Amino acid sequence: METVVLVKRVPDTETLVRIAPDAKGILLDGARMVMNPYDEIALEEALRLRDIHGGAVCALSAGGEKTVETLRTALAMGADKAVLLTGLESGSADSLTLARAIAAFLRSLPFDLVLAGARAVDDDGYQVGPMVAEFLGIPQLTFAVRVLVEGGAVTCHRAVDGETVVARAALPALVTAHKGLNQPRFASVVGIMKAQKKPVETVTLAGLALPEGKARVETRSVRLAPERAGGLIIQGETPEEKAKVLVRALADAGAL
Amino acid sequence: MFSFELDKEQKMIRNSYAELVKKLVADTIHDQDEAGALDPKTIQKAWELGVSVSAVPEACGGMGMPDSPMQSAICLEELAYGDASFAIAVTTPSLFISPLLRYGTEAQKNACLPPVCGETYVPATLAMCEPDLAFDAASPKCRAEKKNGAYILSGVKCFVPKAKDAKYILVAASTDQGPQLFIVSADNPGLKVGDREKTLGLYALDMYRVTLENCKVSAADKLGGDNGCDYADVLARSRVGLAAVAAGISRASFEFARDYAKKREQFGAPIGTKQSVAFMVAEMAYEADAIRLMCWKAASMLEAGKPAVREAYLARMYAGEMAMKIGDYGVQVLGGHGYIRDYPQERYYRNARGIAILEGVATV
Repeated sequence: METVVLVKRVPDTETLVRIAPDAKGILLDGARMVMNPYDEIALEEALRLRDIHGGAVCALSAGGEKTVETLRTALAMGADKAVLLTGLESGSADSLTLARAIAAFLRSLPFDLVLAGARAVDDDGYQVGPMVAEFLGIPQLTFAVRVLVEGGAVTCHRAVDGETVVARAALPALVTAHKGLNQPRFASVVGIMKAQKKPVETVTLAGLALPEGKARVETRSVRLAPERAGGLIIQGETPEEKAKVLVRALADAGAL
Repeated sequence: MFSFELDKEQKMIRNSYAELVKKLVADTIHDQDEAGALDPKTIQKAWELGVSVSAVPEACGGMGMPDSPMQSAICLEELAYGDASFAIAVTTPSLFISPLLRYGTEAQKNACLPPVCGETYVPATLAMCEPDLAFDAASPKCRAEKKNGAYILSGVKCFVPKAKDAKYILVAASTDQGPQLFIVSADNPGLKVGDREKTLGLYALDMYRVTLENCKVSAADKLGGDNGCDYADVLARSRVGLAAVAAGISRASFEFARDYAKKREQFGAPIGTKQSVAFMVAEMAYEADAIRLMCWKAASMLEAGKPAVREAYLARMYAGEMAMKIGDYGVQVLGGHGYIRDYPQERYYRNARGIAILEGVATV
């Protein structure tokens, strides 16, 4: 089974976010960059499925030179090969442009399954995976917390309001991975050493037959969320006393 | 050119161990330390990252990569950044594997490496320390007498990590040719693993007293056979390992104290704005870096195939002294919070104290 995993290079969620001077984005210099944690889950699932069904896992990412590091991490975790799509200037590409480019490239590649993270932790778009499926005209199963491949079809479990939706689609299909699907492995020493010898292919967008279409989303400004105001701690000796203070506070706030 | 810059692979290896510590160790280690036991599943996960077996030939269960003391030092520091008990427990098999790889005969490697180099963590360990006031790692009191083509080992060892579950124990003993190492199987009737040691620090690491009484091992179980081993080199590697552990504890202690000093307010300002505190934190920072640099120097010399007995000794000595100082300052910066067990500083302090005492509990 041939699987492609879409991986994105994102700032570590513990990075202190700084807004760029033009307020159109965030400053990434000095930020620790990692593979999007949801993509790690997708990759882990791809590796697990490969162990069962055989075939190869290809990690695919778009970005600049530094993105090779993220692809190397994917290779170190166990992916067989990696492809870097270049030519998308960061900031100028919205999810739509990116999805078009990925879909255009995937048309040139035989695959049975595309796996992606359900979301990327940097811009939380939730869009690229589903858009790629649309452009390719293949079924998509999103937010998977369990994935089974059997008899040319993929079955996914998705948690909805405490219930589970089980959906099935014929391959080729696209699945987006959600938290709880698995626990991604850590790259081993030998995996890391071997990763340096595995191929990373670079594909420029200019070489792809991209359909016309400009970015539809423009970032007007980026700002930090306002700091949360401190909560109110109700003081009082007895529960009755505290209840009175609470009722008064609620009334003052216009909640009663 | 002389450079302290790690290469791409080394950085990735460091990141992978750091990720594991962040995700699996950081939040749970306090409880594991309090309970005096490490989670076997986490040890297994860390084992699978494979630093202990990377240099073991593939035929013996390893990865067949070049031996890299630098790589080991980097991994040990990251593991010890999470917890020293955890770092030592995960790498205890290295105490056996590393000397065997370097000095073992082909027969010894083929017989003893596969059982402890598989995918599952199987402890094997080294018995070096002795409960003797005048203990000197370079001249153990434990004796190995040659008798009728075999060796009879007698002596007492202490602080032997994971001895109870170890498949093999490499025992340091004096012979007529100076100190040597002997492979002792767990089922040797002359080997008695005593009670778990009760220690000031490293609560989560089980270490034992081991008694060798009329413990007979065949001449073929002397590490390296007739040639023996370079005991000073084994000792040097253990010392570099300890220095790497100290580097990890020290960095953890420094970073915690630094962040605390920035946040904790007293008299209307963060305590880090007071010189008395800031100086302590600064000292912790440069000593933690100094420990690492001395450790890396010794490790890089070993990696280049040069003897590093002196550098390893100095690195471990400096690390032992400075880790204590850093641990002490760490507690002091936190004040009362440093002394209670809800904060990690007292654990760093207790664990750091062992670096200057223990021999043969970590190796690169």
